[in-house]
This record gives sequence, structure tokens and C-alpha cells, in this order.
Amino acid sequence: MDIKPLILIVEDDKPIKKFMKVSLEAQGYKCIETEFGNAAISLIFSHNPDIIILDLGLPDIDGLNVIDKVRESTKARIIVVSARGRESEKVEALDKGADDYLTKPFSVAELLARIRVALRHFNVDNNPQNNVQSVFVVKDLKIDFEKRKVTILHKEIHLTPMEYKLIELMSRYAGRVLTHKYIVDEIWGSYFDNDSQSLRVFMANIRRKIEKDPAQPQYIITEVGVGYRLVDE
Amino acid sequence: MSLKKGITHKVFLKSLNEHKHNEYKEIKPKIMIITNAFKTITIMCISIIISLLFRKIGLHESNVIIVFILGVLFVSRSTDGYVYGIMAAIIGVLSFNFLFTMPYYSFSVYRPDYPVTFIIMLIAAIITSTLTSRVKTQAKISLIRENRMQILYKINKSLLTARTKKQVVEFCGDNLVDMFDRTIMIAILDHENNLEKQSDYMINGEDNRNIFKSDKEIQAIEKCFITGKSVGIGAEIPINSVGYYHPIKGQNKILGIIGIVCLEENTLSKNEKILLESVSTQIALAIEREDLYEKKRQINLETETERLRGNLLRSISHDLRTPLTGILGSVSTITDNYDILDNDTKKELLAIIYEDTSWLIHSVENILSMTRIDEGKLEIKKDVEVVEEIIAESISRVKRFSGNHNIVIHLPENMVMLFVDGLLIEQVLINLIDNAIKYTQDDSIIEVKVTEKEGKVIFEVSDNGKGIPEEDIRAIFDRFYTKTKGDCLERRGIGLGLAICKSIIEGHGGSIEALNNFSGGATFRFSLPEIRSDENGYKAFDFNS
Repeated sequence: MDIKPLILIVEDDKPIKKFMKVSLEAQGYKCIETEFGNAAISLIFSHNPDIIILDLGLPDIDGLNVIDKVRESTKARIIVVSARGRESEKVEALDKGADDYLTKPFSVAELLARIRVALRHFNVDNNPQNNVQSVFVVKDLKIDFEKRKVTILHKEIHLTPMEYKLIELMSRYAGRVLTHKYIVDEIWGSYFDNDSQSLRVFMANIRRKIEKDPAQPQYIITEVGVGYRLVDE
Repeated sequence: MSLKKGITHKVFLKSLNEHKHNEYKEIKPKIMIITNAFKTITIMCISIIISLLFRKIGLHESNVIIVFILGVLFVSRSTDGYVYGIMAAIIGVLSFNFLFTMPYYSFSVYRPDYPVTFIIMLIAAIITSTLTSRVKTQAKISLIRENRMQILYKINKSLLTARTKKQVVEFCGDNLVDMFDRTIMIAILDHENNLEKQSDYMINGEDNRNIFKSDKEIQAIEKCFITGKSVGIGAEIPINSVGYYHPIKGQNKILGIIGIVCLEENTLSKNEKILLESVSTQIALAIEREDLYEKKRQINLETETERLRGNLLRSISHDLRTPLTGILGSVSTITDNYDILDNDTKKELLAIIYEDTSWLIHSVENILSMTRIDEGKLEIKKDVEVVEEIIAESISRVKRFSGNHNIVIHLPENMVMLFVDGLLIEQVLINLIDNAIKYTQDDSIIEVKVTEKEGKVIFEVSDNGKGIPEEDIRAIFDRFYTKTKGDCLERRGIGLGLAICKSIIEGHGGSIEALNNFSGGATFRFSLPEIRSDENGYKAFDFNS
């Protein structure tokens, strides 16, 4: 059975809403749309969409409030849309439970890539039997969870236990942005007081081991001011 | 320099202290009377002894009279007020009568001319004593005046060096505490015309700070502020408060209040009040001067901002019009001739639209940063950033525009950390690389290089294009500057990019420069202070764990 995924677009700018709708429908997704946060909340409860694209600057209520209200009751992936320079807003949205973000202005290609990632995760979460992967593969990078082995082009990469923990965490959420705070909390525990500095050092070390050119990374992408993303396609 | 200043300050304080003990602490009257009486009696006794000696030797009695007048002179010189002089004169006449006129040791006289002698002697003595004491009081008054002038001059001098209102208050507070040897409070108006939180100046470590906080004192302060008259014990508005409050009167309004603690009936003397009055005038002058200076600075800043805003608007409207015309034209061409145009032409037109919009986005981003800088609101949110992350992100963002240009990156082997606003440094790099793309031909090589040197991280963006014309190099970081001669691939450009780069780099305590390579092409180089890894504690974690 092949049901078209349902996408809810919450965006108050009509041209942007229009082009998102057109390009998503061209890809075979089903779309519903609204300009208002309150309407979005009721649409989420009535239609139960798979993915929500949510602009944070809405005319009636703050996009962050929408996340607060629906996060507990829906499994939908939430992709927030926000302007560049508002990194703290994005981090807040991600910490509140948003799954990903898009920075305005964005291209259609970026939008579709984010939707694909979100759908993949949505499907994985909904099919628990596939959930336990034993191997993660992207491009030349392969992570074998059972053997705790990381290879690039079949060449083993030696990672310290901490580095392995980090890359394992990122591969579990591959394609998604993980905020500094989230990673630090997961790896060190929340008592560690959000020290992103040491995290950066670890990341730089990992990157040195797996990237051919750290200045043009293929695997671990830095989202300046927000966090890290391990690519998954 | 500062040492010297310290010493003069000390000398100043010392002189103030001496002065204070001489003039402002009026010696208690009882002791004064006793000492003065003692002096009078001693001097007169000495006169009598000398006179007795003279008689023994057999000198004429006119010498005795002179000795007594001399005694009176000494008495009026060494005592306060003319009362003692007159008393000395009477004592002199009586003792002359008693000891040196026939019959001896009795107040009766035989010779008829003696009473005349007595009267003349008395008058001479009294006139001498009053004259002397008047000269003395005048000398004393002028000394007080001189001292007051000196203090005012010193305060004035120290106020001239004050650069802010806060400093004015501090200097005055210090001086007043030294002068009065009491706890002083100074409160001045803030920007919203409210009395600012009081600045207390303590002396002798007494904990008098809370004195000014009681309801009664606050009421007194308010009254003083509203009426512009001094408030307190013995003031223009007598109130039984602990503090004596004097307003700091400016030209049009009350600028603040000086409060002085008068504990245990220890009220201010008249002299102290006059001094306080003069000092408050000085403070008022200083505060008004600072206010004017601040106002002038504000106006200058506003004019400058206004001018910049005007320039910015002109520049924006000119530079944004071009791509917008392109977009509008292409779109209307497509919609009007949708059926006539072949697909390739449509695609071409759409590509133009895409390119123009990308350019618009880029420009708008720069304009936004610039306005943020101009408003002085540019919040530089510094955090620890890894150089390669910044480079990586800027390269990925610039790739969209890079076309056929080759971007080569050289990074140092070890990891370099910076304490910067990542987004802003990224924007600098994007601007520089984008410039290189804009001003060089296709297939040019653009090199991005990072090196460490003497605690600085040096970024270089160089190209192998035509380089910068010599006449442009100097002005290249100025606002709204675009190359004078637009040659070859000249595309529209807002001359803002490099100005923004400069503002951002300087905001981070770094420097930026442009130069031509020997081998041709231009290099833009900026440096930022590096974080030393051992200073920042992240080595405390075991990275191999």
C-alpha cells in the first residue's frame, strides 16, 4: 500500500507557501496549508500529517508555541523555517522538539532534501522492527554498530571510545541537526553544563580522521551557531 | 606620572586637614577664655616685674608707662578679640596706680596730674589693643578666604579632569569627605531626571551608610530637591534630620543633592555652609558641562548615522534596481510570450532570474549586517569556534556563485580555535571570496589560506586576477566604494561588502588589509587573535578516553 505522505505547510507569506506547495505536489506529496498557528494546531489534530513545515514568525501566535502544544501528541516530523541570523531561535525550536530547520532563503532542492530525511525517520520510527540497524552506511563511510567499527572505503578508522560514542549518536539521527546542547546532554549528561567547547574539539578530531578535506567536509556538516549534522545521502 | 599625581593629592589633603583643624573646628570657647586670660595675666605680670626692675634701677616712671603699653600690645596680639586688650589696659593702669605712684601699694594718688596720666594711658592702651585685634581678625578672615579659594581651586582642577558625571561625583565626594571629615552623600539626576541612587562616601569606616536610607532622610532629600533650598538642622528649611542637605543648582533646574551627616548635634558651622555652597556650584558647573558634552556627542552621532543612512539608501536603491529590472523583465517576457517562446529560451530567462535573486539575497544580507553595525546594535555573540568549521561553511555557501572558479583551501595541520562570532566571520569570508569571484575571470584560482603566527590567526583570500589598481587600494575599505574602472567582468556591486568586513574584523580586535601579489592578483588578509589551547580549560578533559 502506497499512501502519499501528508505535509502540512504553515507559512504566512503567500508566494513562499505557493512555491512550497507546488514543488512538493510535483514530487507526489499531498499538502494542506494554513497561515495561522491556531489553525495549524487544529489541522494537526484533525488530519494527523506526517510532516509539518512551520514558519516561526506567524501572524497570530509564535511558532515556538505551536511546537509546545503539539509535540506531545503527534509523531509528525516538524521542520521549522526561520531567517538567517536567528540561530538562537532555531536552537530553541530544536530543543523544544522540532526535528530540523530550513534557513530563509532556501532553495527547492534544500526543501526536498529535508523532507526526504524527515520522511525516512518518520518511517523508521513507525516500523519498530526495522529500527535496530546493525550497520550505517553513507557514501564511503560505514559504521558497524555490533563490532563498533568505523571504516572508510574498507579502511578502518581508529576512534577513541568518546569519538565513537559521538559518531554513533550522530548516525542514529543522520540527516538531522543535533544541537550542541543535545549532543552534550546525550554524551556527557546534563550535569556537564552545556560546554560546547570540548565538543568542538572532539568533532574537529573526528573530522580529521574521517574527512578527506576538513574545509569541505562530506560527512559532518557544521551548522554554525546551531550544531552538527551527519549527512545521510 | 600617576605617582606624582598621588603625591600632590596627598599634599593637598594634608593642607586641607591642617586647614580644617585651624579654621573649621572652632576651639571650644571655655578653653579659649582660660588660655586667653592666662596669657593676659602672664604678660601683665611680666610687665609689672620689668617695671619693678626699672624702678629699682632708678629709671624714670615714663618708661614704666611705656612698658605697660607694650604689655597691652603683646596681649592684644596674642589673644583673640579686643576684650583682653582692654582688660590688660585696665590692669596696667590699676597696677601702675597701685605700685608706682605715691603712695605706693594704695589706689589713692597724691599728685594731681596722675589721673590725667591714667586716662591717657588707658586711652592709648585701648586704641592700641583694638587696632591690633582688628588687624588680626582681618588677617584671619583673609586666611580663611584664601584657604577656601584654594580648596575650590583644587576641586575645580580635579573636576576638569573628570570625564563622566560619575567621575564628577566621585571626585567631589572624595574632596568633601576630606574637607568635612563626615559621611557625605551625593545624588545626581540621571537621564530620566530621577535622582540616581545615592553614592555614599564613608569616612573612618563608620557604618553610616544607612543613615540616608531612613524615611525621614529621604523626605528631607525630596524636600531639598523640590524646593531647591537647603534642608536640615540650621538650614533654610529647618528639619530635625540627621543630614544636612544642600541642593546642587544648575542653570535651569536642581541637578542633585549633597548630604552631610551631622551626628550628635555636630552641626555645620557658617564657614562650612559657605564652603558647601561654593562646592555645590562647582559641581553644578561640572555636571552641566558633562551634560552638554554628552548632548553634543549624541547629536554628532545622530548626524553621522543619518548621513550614513542616506548614503546607504541611495546606494541600495541604485544597486538593487538593476537585478530587479532583470527579474521583472525576464518574468514579464515569459508570461507575455509563454506560448511563443521555446523551452530553451524560457530556461535561460529563468536562469537569469535565479542568478539575479541569488545576488539580491546576498546584497540584502550585507545591507542587514551593515545596518546592524550602524545602529551600534551589532551584537557580537562570541563563542569558541573552530576555524575549519567556519571556512567549511563559508565555502559551501559561496559555491553557489562560484561558477567555474577554482577554490583552493590551505588549512594548518593542527586545530585552530577562535573566540569570535562565527556567523560574522563567515560573512567576512563570503564577502572576500565573492569579491574574488566577481573581479576575476572564469577558471581563475582563488586561494583561501589560514596560518598561525605569534598568537594570531591570519586568513588570506587571494586570486590570480588583475589585482587592485594602485589608486583604489587605499580607499577600498571605505563605504559605498566600488572599483573606479569597471573592466571586464564588472558586475554590479554594492561597495558595502568590504566596509562590512572591516567593521566586523575591527569589532573582533583584528585588522584587515588589501595588497597586490607580486605574481599578479590581489590578496585580502585579515588577522584575529587566537585562543591559546592551554588557557581555556578544554585540555582538562581527556580526549583519548
